[in-house]
Amino acid sequence: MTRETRVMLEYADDPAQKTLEGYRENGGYQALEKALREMSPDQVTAEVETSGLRGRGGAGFPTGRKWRFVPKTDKPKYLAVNADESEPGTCKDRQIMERDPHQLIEGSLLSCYAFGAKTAYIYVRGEYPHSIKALEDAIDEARAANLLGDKILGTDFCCDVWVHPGAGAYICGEETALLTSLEGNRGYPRIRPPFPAVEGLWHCPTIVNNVETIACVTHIIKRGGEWFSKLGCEGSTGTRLFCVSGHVKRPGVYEFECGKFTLRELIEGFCGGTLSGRPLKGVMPGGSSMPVLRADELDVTFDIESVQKAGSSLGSGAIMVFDDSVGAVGAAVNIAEFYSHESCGQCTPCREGSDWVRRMLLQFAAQDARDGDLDLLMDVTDKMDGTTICALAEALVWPVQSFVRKFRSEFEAAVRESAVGTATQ
Amino acid sequence: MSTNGKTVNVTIDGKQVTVPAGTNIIEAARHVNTEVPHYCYHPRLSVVGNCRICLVEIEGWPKLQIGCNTNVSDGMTVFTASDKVREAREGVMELLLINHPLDCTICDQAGECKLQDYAVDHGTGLTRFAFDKQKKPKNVSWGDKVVFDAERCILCTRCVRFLDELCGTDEIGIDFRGEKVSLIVRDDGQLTSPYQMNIIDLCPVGALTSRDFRFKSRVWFMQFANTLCTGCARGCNVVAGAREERLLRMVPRFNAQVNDHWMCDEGRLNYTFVNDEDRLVAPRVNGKDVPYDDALARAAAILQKAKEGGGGAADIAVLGCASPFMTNEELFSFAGLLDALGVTERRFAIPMGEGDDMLLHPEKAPNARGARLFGFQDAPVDAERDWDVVVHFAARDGGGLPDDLNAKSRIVFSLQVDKNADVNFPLTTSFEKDGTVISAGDRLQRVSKALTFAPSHLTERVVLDRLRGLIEDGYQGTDTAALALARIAQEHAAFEGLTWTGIGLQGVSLQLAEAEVGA
Repeated sequence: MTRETRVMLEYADDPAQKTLEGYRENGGYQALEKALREMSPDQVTAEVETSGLRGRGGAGFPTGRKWRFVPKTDKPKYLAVNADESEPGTCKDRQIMERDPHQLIEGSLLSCYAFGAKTAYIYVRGEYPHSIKALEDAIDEARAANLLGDKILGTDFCCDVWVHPGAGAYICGEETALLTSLEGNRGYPRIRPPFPAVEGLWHCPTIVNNVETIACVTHIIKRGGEWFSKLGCEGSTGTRLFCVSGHVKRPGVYEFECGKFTLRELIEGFCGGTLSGRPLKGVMPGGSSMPVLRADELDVTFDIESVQKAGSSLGSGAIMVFDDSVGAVGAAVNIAEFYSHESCGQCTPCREGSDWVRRMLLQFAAQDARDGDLDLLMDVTDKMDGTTICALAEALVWPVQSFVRKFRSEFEAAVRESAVGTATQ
Repeated sequence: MSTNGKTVNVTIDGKQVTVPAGTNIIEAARHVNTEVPHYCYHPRLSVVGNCRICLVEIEGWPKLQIGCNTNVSDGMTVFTASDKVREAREGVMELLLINHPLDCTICDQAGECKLQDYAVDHGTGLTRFAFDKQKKPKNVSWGDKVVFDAERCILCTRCVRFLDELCGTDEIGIDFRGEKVSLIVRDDGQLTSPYQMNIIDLCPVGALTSRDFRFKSRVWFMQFANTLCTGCARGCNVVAGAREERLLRMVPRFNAQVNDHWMCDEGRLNYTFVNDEDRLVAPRVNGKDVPYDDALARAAAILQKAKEGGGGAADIAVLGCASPFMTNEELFSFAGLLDALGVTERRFAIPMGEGDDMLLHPEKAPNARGARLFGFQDAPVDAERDWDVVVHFAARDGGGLPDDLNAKSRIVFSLQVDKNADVNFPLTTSFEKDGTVISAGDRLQRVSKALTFAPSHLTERVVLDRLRGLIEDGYQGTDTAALALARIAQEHAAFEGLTWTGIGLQGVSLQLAEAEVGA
């Protein structure tokens, strides 16, 4: 049975939760008190490791392990909270920022305490003015209550949190581009190594974590890593926010424990099936950058590992549902249009390839493709895969290739019906 | 790169090599004479890894890695030409060319273009791109030195990084996004750096061309000489390119001890005087062109008279005025001639200008150190005195002598006709002869002939040696600069053991006492 387990969204429907008073009434900042008075930084990290928390931005890297990469140095260390929620279909982080912002601030302070940072930047996408306002209000309140700034709660811990609005580039959600942008430069991803944990903002160790990841830290410290690890399933512990959109009866942002239901149960049961009642065609389970799953592939348990085995990914938790009114060619065009427009243009395969792929797909959409064009499309996308600085090229390649592989007949039909016909023989 | 002297053993394409720890794969591969193709990587610029042509395969690594940003580690096995690598390179090559105009026929870079080279070495020779290419700005003026073509640009950002990281002027930026990306120059769109022309050399393709050189010659019709810029005392190593005995350009040549990969614009553009139409090409006596033998005879007669009169003695005053543009071999011959005459008044003057903390040296001549070493004084000439004979090597600015100097007889070596000269010999530039100079930091370096001056021309060194032979019985000069250098090596302690080939293309450091060469 699919049902919600609310941890991060427990008080989301309470308008008072946005205020410091309301947040404190519901147990807010107890985790910070506990950590600062009873736990060493190392114990906080250990608790996060025990919890099994994995990053919620898309890659799913174990959070505790990432924090351990921060070298022991005298350099300043930074936390950069990735709130540049720009992946099409994703709208979960704004629920936290706009309805319960203090849990993000508390989580940021706990994280900074754990790996020795004194400054956290929350990089919020520019198109989220409400999130920016909510966070700034919450930060002002927290600062006035000595929850931020010098000698927090009378301890020796000093830390501040700042909001930095983005300027509308999707690429700035890529962690290294986010750092370049924070530094005031053009949002270009950086080559790794060095990884940000070793050399990030202004060449100093920097941890980049997603909003939801940091929000989880608050609850892990409050209720224990052990408690968190028992939620969900192995490899996908805790609860996760999912943004269900597209052709479903009940779209929305929901909080689930992973591993308790299949993707089909979620869409056909919990979300009530397609809005139109037409047959389901496919689902993109992790945002527009992940491979599509066909309607016959949905009996997969909904957790990181199982969805990966099925050939896709939970990604950023954006579940996009298509009924059979959607054409695979059109969907692929849409995806290519987005990613080629958002390609930063820094490295060759993505800069040149994404636009080429977009133009090839438009030919299919216009039924103007030739024999061999489908093979060419697959070959060009193959050559973009794994050859670039960041994952944006793959964010185009994986879904486009998945649409071709899974709905090949629709692409072939676009060739057959083509007015151009075969070029030779 | 901190290596702490540690080394690592790596295998590159089956060849084992030991390199310093912290060496990247592109540099390590050079040790086994393997070129990993690269556009954006440059050893003196930050690593950005944006061109993606240097992808290589590393044993045990799931994905291909870029050679520029991957340092070798002990026991690493690298494949730079495996099927996987070849396929990826082909892909990058194809993508680099889909929007490139392929206008090699009218592009100045043709013949020395990395797109051409790598397309042949690593491409398929075909395109599968069936669309109209991107349209971007062409023939964009970035000031009076550099012209930009955005369609040819492959966005490697070498130029951006050079002006930012090495010049600190940070003048070029990146505009737009994705396939529309292009470069722009900030403010009024005009470059200001006095080193800006280095970006033309850095540009691996034809996107940045030199306003001075563009459309003058295809590079394969040119002949090149490894020589020096003689615009100042730095002695930047250059490759001088000439065609049909006209000098067309200079580009810097790598020398870690002197100029690294760079040169200043002032020096680079300081060559056009070589091609001046009004150069003096034949010796003249009393205002008339004469054969060398006649000019030599007339000059020898003047000098003979001076010698008999006692050379530098008070009754017959002789002045030898050298120039800091002369090579050591010329200075040696000149000093020898003056010795034979007993002349003690030996002067030269250094043209001074602006210096900076990069390459520009305030001494605007290549060999003031040599002039001092061979006994010429950087001191004013006594203009009040009545001179009987002046032997003068006129620098480009006329150099060294007051306009109103009183002299009964003048033997002048000059670029243009000197109307006051009794005997006027043609002067050659450093691009028209072989020789050595002592650059800043007491570095002995070679200049080499890039083009032939007038066909029957005798170099100044030969003229000086013949003159000496005419007034000193039995004196024999040398045939070549290399032989002249050998003679210097015998007579001057500082040059002991040095040979023409030993100096090589990169020069050697001399151990000179400050008293010998001055500051």
